[in-house]
Amino acid sequence: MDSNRKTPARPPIRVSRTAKGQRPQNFQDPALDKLLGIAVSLAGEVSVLRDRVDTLERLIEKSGLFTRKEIESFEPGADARTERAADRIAYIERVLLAAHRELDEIDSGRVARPLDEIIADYANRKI
Amino acid sequence: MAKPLHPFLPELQHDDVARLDFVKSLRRFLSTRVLPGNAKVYEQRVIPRFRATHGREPATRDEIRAEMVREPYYQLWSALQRRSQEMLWEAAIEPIQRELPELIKKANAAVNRPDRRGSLRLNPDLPLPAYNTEMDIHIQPGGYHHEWANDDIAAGAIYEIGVGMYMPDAWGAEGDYLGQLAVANFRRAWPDRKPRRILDMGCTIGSSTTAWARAFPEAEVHGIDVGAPVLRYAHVRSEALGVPIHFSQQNAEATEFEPGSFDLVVSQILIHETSLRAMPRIFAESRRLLAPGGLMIHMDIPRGANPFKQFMHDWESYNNNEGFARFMTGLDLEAVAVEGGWQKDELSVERVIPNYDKSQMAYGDEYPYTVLIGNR
Ligand SMILES: C[S@@+](CC[C@H](N)C(=O)[O-])C[C@H]1O[C@@H](n2cnc3c(N)ncnc32)[C@H](O)[C@@H]1O
Repeated sequence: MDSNRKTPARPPIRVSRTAKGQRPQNFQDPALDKLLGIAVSLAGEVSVLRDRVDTLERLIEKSGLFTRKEIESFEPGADARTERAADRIAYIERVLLAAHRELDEIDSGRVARPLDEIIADYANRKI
Repeated sequence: MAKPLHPFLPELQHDDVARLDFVKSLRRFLSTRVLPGNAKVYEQRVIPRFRATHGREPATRDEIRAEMVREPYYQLWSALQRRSQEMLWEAAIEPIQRELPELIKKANAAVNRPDRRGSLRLNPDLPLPAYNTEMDIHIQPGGYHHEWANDDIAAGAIYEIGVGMYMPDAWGAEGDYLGQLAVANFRRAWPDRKPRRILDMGCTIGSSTTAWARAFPEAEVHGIDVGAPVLRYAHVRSEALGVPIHFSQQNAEATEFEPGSFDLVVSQILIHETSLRAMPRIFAESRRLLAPGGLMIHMDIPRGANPFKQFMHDWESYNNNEGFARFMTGLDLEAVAVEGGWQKDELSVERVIPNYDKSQMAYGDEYPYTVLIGNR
């Protein structure tokens, strides 16, 4: 689905999406910073689709019939907005599971020993 | 979609709103669910490791930083936080770019219209300070000053939509929460004062200036900034909102106003985006512009109460093009004002605590603003 259908391929005035200034590198390998950026963009676009589907479902439920114009002007009410915001947090939590994995260890106090150590213990018949 | 606040914001389509909402939700998720883990990682991993090698806890934010940037948990949070900030601007730019020629046309028709109540005066020859041009502050593409077309107003619209998401819903429908906070603080301290000429330094799109002008409708209110596109936008925006303000392109370090021509000079979150060189000059200029008995009130951002929080605040300097912000930590503002020619006994520093939803704030503490007051 082309969710950008009103954005011309070549806009008359192009506004750069890049800020002047060195981009910080958070990971040892700069490719990882880029890859993460792409992954989050994708997550964002999926979220956009999810909202759109939600709009469709609500419109169908309401009238059984709709036009594209209706989608563009659909105004979610306060309840729908609250539900969407909560759904979105749950969705982000699923996509960003990696962010919590490490903390789970700390929180549960179940810190595993390094795999090499465990394997060495097997080898040395310590376990 | 809901009608924009004024005609110089783009109409948002379904997916524009969904993109903005995603960024809002992502940032809320990061600040409430991921960011707090950094403190745990610090306490449970970094402190014990540091103690093992140094025999003590890390003592400064820089020592903490040197350790934390090696922690995978911090790395991931930081990379996600950075990405969320980039996407905030990307999501704002999308609808603005689409409508920009139309928005510029509308703005051109509205600039200095005969029925205006305020005014706009630009100075294309004004040199931009290096602290504005070295990097695009808080990574807003193009910063406050870049023009993507003739008579551009994009920077203003990008700022208005973007800042509305920086701390979602914290700034109020008109984005004037900071101004209202400053006004309320002023009224508490000086309930009987009715300033007649007010200057707002570093006004950007005039969101806070509007709060001052609304609070004192009898006063003549001026807003200055160095960025032309944000000022054009500020002018047509405040006219559309029905608030008379005189905007001009001037450097707060040295303005063209007459000495003693104001009885109140304010700024909201300007000074952490300047420099140690500029600050005494800005305070000196504030003093020069004040009539005897006049007040200078500069309100700026919080910087964290202990070394760990200070380190977290420093994220902005290292990852969000707020190069100067970290120098505000522990800075003696009164001493800087004395350097700018103020007398020690004319000065005071206060803390103001806003009442907005704390879960929206990236660093989750009570977030007191610092206010430097000079009473001439
Ligand atoms: C964070 S914004 C201020 C926000 C605004 N006061 C508000 O409350 O919404 C900082 C602004 O200060 C401006 N600025 C920075 N240095 C300046 C200077 N020396 N003179 C005038 N404006 C300056 C920037 O162009 C930018 O628009």
